[in-house]
Amino acid sequence: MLTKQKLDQFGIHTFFTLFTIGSLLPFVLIFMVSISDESSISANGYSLLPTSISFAAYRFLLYDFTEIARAYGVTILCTIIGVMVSLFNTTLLAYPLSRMELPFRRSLSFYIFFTMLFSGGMVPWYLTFVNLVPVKNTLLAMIIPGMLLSAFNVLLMRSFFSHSIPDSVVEAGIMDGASEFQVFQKIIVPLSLPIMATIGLFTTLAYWNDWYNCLLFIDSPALYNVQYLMTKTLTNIQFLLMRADSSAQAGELLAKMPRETVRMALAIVGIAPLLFAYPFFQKFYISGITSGAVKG
Amino acid sequence: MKASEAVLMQSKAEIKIWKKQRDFLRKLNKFKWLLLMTLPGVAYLFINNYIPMYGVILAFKQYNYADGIFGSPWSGFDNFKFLFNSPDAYTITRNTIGYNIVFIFLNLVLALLTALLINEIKEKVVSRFYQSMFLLPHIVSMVIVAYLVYSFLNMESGLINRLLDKWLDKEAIAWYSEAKYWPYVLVIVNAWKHVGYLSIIYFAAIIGIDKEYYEAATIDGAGKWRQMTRITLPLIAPVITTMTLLSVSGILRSDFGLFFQVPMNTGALLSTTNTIDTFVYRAMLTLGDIGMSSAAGIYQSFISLLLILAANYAVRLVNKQDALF
Amino acid sequence: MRIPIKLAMILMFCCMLIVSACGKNEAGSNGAENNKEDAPSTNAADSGADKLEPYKITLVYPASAAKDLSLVQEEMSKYLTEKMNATIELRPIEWGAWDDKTNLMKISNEPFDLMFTASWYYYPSDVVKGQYHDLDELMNEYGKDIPDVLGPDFLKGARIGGKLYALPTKKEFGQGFGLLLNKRFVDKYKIDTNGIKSMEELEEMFQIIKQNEPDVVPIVSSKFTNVWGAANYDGITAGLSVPRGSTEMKVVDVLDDPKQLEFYKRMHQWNKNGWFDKDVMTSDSEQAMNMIKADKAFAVASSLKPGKDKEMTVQYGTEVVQVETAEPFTVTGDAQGAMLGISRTSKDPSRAMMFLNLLYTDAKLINMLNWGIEGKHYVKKSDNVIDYPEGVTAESQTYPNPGGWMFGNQFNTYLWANEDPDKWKLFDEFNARSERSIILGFTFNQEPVKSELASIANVEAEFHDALASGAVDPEKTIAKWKEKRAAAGYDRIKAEVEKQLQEWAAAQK
Repeated sequence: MLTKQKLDQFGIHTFFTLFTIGSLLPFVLIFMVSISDESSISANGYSLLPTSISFAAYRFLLYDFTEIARAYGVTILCTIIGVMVSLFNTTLLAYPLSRMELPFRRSLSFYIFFTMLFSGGMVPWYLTFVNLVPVKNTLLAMIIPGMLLSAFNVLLMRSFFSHSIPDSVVEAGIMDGASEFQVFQKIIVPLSLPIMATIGLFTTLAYWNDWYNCLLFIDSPALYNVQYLMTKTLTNIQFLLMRADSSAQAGELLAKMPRETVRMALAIVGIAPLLFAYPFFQKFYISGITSGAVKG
Repeated sequence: MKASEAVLMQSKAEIKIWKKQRDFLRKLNKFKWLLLMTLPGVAYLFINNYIPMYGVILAFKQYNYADGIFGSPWSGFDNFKFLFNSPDAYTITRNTIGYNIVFIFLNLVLALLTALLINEIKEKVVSRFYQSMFLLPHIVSMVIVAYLVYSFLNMESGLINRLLDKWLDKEAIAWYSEAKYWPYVLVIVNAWKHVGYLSIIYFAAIIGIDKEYYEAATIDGAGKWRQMTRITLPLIAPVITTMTLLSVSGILRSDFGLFFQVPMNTGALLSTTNTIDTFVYRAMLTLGDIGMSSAAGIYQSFISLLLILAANYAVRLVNKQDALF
Repeated sequence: MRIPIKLAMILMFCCMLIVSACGKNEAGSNGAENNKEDAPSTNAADSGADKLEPYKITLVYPASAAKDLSLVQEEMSKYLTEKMNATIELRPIEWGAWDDKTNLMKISNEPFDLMFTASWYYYPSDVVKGQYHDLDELMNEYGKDIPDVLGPDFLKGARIGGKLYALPTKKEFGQGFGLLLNKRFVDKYKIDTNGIKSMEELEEMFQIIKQNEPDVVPIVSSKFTNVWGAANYDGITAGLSVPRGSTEMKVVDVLDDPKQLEFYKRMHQWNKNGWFDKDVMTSDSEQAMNMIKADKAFAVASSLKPGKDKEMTVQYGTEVVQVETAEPFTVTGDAQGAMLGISRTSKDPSRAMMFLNLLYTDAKLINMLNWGIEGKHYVKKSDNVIDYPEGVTAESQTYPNPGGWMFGNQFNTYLWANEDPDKWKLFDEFNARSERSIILGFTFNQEPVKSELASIANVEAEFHDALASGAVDPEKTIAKWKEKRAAAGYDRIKAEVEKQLQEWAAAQK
């Protein structure tokens, strides 16, 4: 019995080791390319073991360090606020919908789901935010439009609530004289920490990786976030290449630019802090909320 | 007699209606806090999604800047024509739906398997480490993925071709000129990118299950396999249903990065890589017509709506609680 | 649990307040800046330097916002206040954001005066949608010097349906065609690069390389097909073209042209000979230059202009020489390669036109816009040659050129020390030498057949690359292409092109 269990565990770990390698290896490749020498990449293609190491790509990107530091600040601030508000709203909307007896339950669910299907397009959406909610050229532009509530997350959370929380628990709570809001706080939230942590994580990734809102709503470079700064650098290089023949100055700059390696360095600069912060996040999500629940 | 009976009937009916109304008001009163809770979310969706929906009229307009969105002349269904008149109409519909069906099915199976296995890991730290690793592919942008795939598949220095050449003594494969390989490439890339992410959702559902079920099962002598199939799967079935229904709602849409950037926009591969979204993108490159692109969006949404209504109805027949609406 | 949730809510609201306050501050300070900008112009008006009302011209163009943008803007405003009692607001928009942002600006009726546009950046479709002012009258009144600077051909090429909607930059007018060759091999095998090379001469070159350098790819990427096509046809849309040198305005289907078929057959042969790189389906000029740099390749096709090889040499740090395969050729697209249009939302189009007039005639103004402030962003080496000031490099400059080719009269701009001092003279010669297409000035209006064009674009994507790289049998593939093209509504497009061309030709007389 014991040996079989050990064998099982061995099999499982082998599976996950392979899985990990499959996920990690491309990352190692990205990193290795980013610290390779430009000429060796253009001559021999990507390689896991660079023949000669060069940090030219990072030197090029981090030339103006204050710019990147400020962009990280913007990203971190917007991510933290965005995730908090978004998680709060998602939970508030998802829980009532999980109660079968709620009036208008079906209509409300459809109202939410419908937003996943039909959209009026980018133009009217942009105009709505510019005219109705003055977010243009403010940090709010990277928090509110499009990202504060995802129908997908609401419906997913709803289904968690309805399967992991038996109706009897809620009814018992109400019998004890607790209000709906107290039931939500004292019973529901503690019971649904795993899903809240998961959706919180996805929301974090969504906020961290967003650059489109920044592209549309932000004009001032002081408010650029990291992902937009990176995307912008990449597209600028591409356009410089396309139109370089028109300016000797641009040509000289391009000659000094490590183009192949910079692409990968951009990816690393964009996501590295998130990777380092991730284990901490995971701990924070799970233990932080759990301890809060126990105390309450 | 008859008259009084009629009066009685009428008053009975009135009482019934009145009772109904009273019950409804009572119910409303009982749930007022819960309804109030939904208010911020409902209001947000109204502003973010419902107000901009007037934009759908663009699909029926021949847009010009001077007249604006509302003033431009109507054009009926002209903007939709290009989706159906094209000789590629069949190919792009087949590719879009076909790939999505495979993605939905394969990703579900792989993600469930992964989630079930990770639940078997006793050491918390190790389990957490694996979970972090799963998310890595999810955060890499498709542009980068495209370059990675290229570094594996190109002829000059591609890792796979070097492997074929050196160790297996086989001819190198011209991946970017043979459409027949791409269904496999795309399915693998898609699974690589999404399975980890999905498995985390299912894992969250699994750890939400009350441990008492398993304890009882162990006492009854049920093995791991039985516990998985008799306890875990049925209990997370609502989540599986929701996830699948939500995926079905996107069955006419495709990941632009996956189908355009990963095959490096190569013409020779179009028969297996062209989807509705890449078709529209190629068409709009020179035309830049806002009416036609919104027509394509509406077409995709409308077909998805029909499909999801049918799927949701089917689910309701089995279990009302699991349906989306 | 009660406390954390309340705490979270309070925290959240505080954060929202802070953020919105930040936002307001931002807007507030912007407003203050704007006021400051307006101030000098009012003063100038008071002093009575000019009878014109003060006005702020907004110029929208694709570029990254430079660090010293506001400095240059101030300096330009000072100068413009003297000249025409106006100030300027430079509004660079990142390349990657250009499509989305300008589209929204146009749709939301945002007021601005001048915007960069080009035939490859929706100039024709924006004209159809009514974004730009008709400029003829304005130019006659406020831009009198412009026709002389540009000359009749440039203006003819810029017109759409007989009307002028944007003014082209005076720069190279036409395209040369040929190859960039790896200089090491040119020297080694004493390859003659003078004159126009025929196909046979090219093949000879490739043969030499293939024989003597087995590890070197003779020619990288399928780009040669595009270069050859542009040198031999004035393409209108969907393969409908007027052949170069044609004396009548008759539309030809290139797939029916024996010359084109012969060319595709040749490419097929080149592919069989192993003259292309193995990745010819995906490789581009960037990859080609990298391979040349690593001495792994010999040639890549390219459109040419005087000094192209020198520019590429600087850019990639490897020596290349150019060789021509055809005389330069001028089509409508060359006249519409870079233009400035006056927006329908401009509050005072006449002032915008006055500013345009200065861009074509006033060297001081355009050099300020292109290179910044003398002494700070560049120093003069001689009359029209400039270089970086001491200690400034290409990376550390604070006003990188937004794109000298985007505005006005490029011939009035300074040259950099690493450029050919005779560049503008060579450009003049090149422009004079370039052969004008018989349909120069004709722009096709896509609107009537846009649904057919949408389908055709996908059909073309499917077949073009495979034929261009010679990977497939030309006759069979062309047959398949034609069949699918017909199903996509090719005949309707052809009829529409013929109709529009006839109308245009009639209007020319």
